[in-house]
Amino acid sequence: MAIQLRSATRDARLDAIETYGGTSCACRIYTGAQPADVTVANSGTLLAEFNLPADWMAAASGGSKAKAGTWQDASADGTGTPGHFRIYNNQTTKDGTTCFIQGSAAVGSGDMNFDGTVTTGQQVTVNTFTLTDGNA
Amino acid sequence: MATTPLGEIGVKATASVKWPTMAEAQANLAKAQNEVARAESVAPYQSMSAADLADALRAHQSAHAFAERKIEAIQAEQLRRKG
Repeated sequence: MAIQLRSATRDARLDAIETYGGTSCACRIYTGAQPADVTVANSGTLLAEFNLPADWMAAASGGSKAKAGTWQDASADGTGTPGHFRIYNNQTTKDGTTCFIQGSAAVGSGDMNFDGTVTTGQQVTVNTFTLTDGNA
Repeated sequence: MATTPLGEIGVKATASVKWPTMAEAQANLAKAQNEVARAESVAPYQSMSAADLADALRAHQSAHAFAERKIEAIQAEQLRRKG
């Protein structure tokens, strides 16, 4: 089994992710499977894109860390089924050099669980986003 | 000697999709137009170094393109609703 860490240590590990990301992050939703890792170039059709709030995550507590503020694209950029999401630490350059979080997305499943497919012009809102450290 | 790896950090997120109301679409359009106007303002760039100016120009172009895409999508949606 994985080693076990005190809750405060797990919180510190999660908070380090937000610190690394900084205060100018952006999120994109794409179709298709996520790239092999965060350093690989973007792929798929861009469905939605939005900047995250400067304070985009609440302080970690009890080994988990939830989003802060509104994560929303008022008008989706493309049409399709969500396949993955990426978060970048730069709101101008969004590629394999700035992506630092990525995960799967799908309708009814995935790391980011959507309630439907996306059509250009629709409003896309990330309602919950929680990171949990596995070393309890 | 074998090492014990740290456990994974997991993510769980939910997202919803809906058509904006006409009021929301109009508010979004106004916001996007403001973004274009802000991106087109040159005043903040007048005292920058060449390197900073180049960075600002890239940011300007990105913000402008982003806002233009939003405006086009919103206007298309407004036209669709008007039938």
